[in-house]
Amino acid sequence: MVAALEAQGFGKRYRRRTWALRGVDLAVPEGSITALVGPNGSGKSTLIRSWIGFERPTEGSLLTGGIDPRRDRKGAVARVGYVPQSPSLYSGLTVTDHIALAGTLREGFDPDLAARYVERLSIPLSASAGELSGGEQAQVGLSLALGTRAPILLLDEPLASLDPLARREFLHVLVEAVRAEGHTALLSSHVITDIEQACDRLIVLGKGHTLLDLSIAEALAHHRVLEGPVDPAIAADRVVGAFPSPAGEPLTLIRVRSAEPIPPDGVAGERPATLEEVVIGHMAAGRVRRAAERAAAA
Amino acid sequence: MLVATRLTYRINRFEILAIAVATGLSVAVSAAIVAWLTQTDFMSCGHDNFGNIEARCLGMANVGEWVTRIDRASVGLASIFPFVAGLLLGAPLVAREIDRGTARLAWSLSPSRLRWYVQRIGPVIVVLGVAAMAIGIVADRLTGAMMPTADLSNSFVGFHGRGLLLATNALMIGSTAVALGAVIGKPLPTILLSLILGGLLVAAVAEVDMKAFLTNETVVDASGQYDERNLNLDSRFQLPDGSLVTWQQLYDMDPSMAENGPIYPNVSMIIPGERYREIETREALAELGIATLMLVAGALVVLRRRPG
Repeated sequence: MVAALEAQGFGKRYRRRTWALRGVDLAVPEGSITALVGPNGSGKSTLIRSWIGFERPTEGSLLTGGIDPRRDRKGAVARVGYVPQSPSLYSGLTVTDHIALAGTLREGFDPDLAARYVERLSIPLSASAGELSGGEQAQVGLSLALGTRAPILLLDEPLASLDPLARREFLHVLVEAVRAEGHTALLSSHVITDIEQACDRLIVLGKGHTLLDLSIAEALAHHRVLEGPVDPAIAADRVVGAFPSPAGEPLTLIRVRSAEPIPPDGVAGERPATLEEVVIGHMAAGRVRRAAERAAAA
Repeated sequence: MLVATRLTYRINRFEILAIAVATGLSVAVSAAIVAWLTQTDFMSCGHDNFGNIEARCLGMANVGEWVTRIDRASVGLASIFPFVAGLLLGAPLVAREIDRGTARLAWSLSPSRLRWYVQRIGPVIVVLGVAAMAIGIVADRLTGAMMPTADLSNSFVGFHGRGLLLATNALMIGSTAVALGAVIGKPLPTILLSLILGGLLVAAVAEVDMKAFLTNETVVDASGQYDERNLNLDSRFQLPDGSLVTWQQLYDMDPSMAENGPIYPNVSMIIPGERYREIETREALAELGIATLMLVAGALVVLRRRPG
């Protein structure tokens, strides 16, 4: 597997005390659309910003398209199209102006391609950025990132400000562009249902650590959910984490070998896990682990 | 380059427009004042022993009084223009982009932050320099209109308040605001700190020139006549052997002079007006040097800092 983005023992500490991330080892395969999921404060944005050279690692190393952004930020930025967390367009400029601006800042920027994406997302090119909604601004941000024709796309929670229809359009454009151009995309998000349709890989971060790093298919195949209390017969190392269902019933995510047959429904209360349950189960496990670490430290 | 310049003007259009309008108005009003004072030769109107204005000027005395008031006020306002323009144009350039997050977008698009920095700073610094130079010339003309017989290129009248030094003051303050904005990343604190640091720098350049150079470059003017063209720095008493002493030294030599008054001639230590252009150029170059250093410092901060 050739990795477009790599982290080895990566750690980032702010103001000498707080570790945003620590001991992160992961690799995002070239040509994949990878979802980066985790609760608020898990370090998703820090990791993404570090790959583009906006943050310096406190420990460990990173590679962006084979380039260490700490040593060659220009090279790293040149390989990346970035959509930041909050839309940050120039309010006094039109969408066309933004495309022209990107052209002045970056060699090889394709203004026609960016304009085509903007039009596909039904945003008028003549509109001033100040008149656009947060979602539309995120879509313009995606169009600019795609206009760079960069091999790697880093998208930092761009779906947060989008309504369901806009979210669907955004992901459609993203997936189509990635497949057509052979890009690699890393998309951080909380919206798991959309991720399942758009992404082929899943990384779960929790409290500064990597909790899960699998393909979506593997993630679904290797986990199941137990409804009701945990059967003591289940080995402790198979239990990932416990969490409530939306109705408040206790659920437990368990790890299985993908070859294991799923027992008939109702026999052991065991059923296939949804991607959301896989993510939530690992987040719950991360929370327990963090609490245990705190208790040990205390 | 033209596209980048046009977009930089659009991004900063409020500030640029405000400064352009203020400069344009100032030039227009000043041109009218100078034209009126020149055509009417009002400044040469004399008064008789009773303080009455001479007959030919009677009809324009009221207007003339207002015009000269506006002239003086305009010269006074010109001296604060470098601060207003420097802070208004310089402070938001980098600070606002960091504060609003547009720097994050731009720096993710541009592998070279230096290119972004030059694109943003260049056109605005040109506007600042041109506007401040225009105001400097306006202040020069207004001062000249009030003193029609004076040769201002050989005179320290209005020193630091007209001509080239107003433009370099503005560039130095504007560049300071750019550099501080890159460090602070918030426009309002940048404006406040730049006001303080810019003021200190303007004062420091004049003070250093005074202490390091001008004080050692004075010549003795024993004419006993005050000449406003010269820069009067100090006065001394000249002893019969030609040596110069301060009042304290004179008193130490002969305490009775405190009661009888000094018996030696009082002479002025001056920089002759003929050296005005030379000294103006020297201070202007120092200010341009500081402005350049500030812009380089701003670039270094932009290259290293987080986008906010």
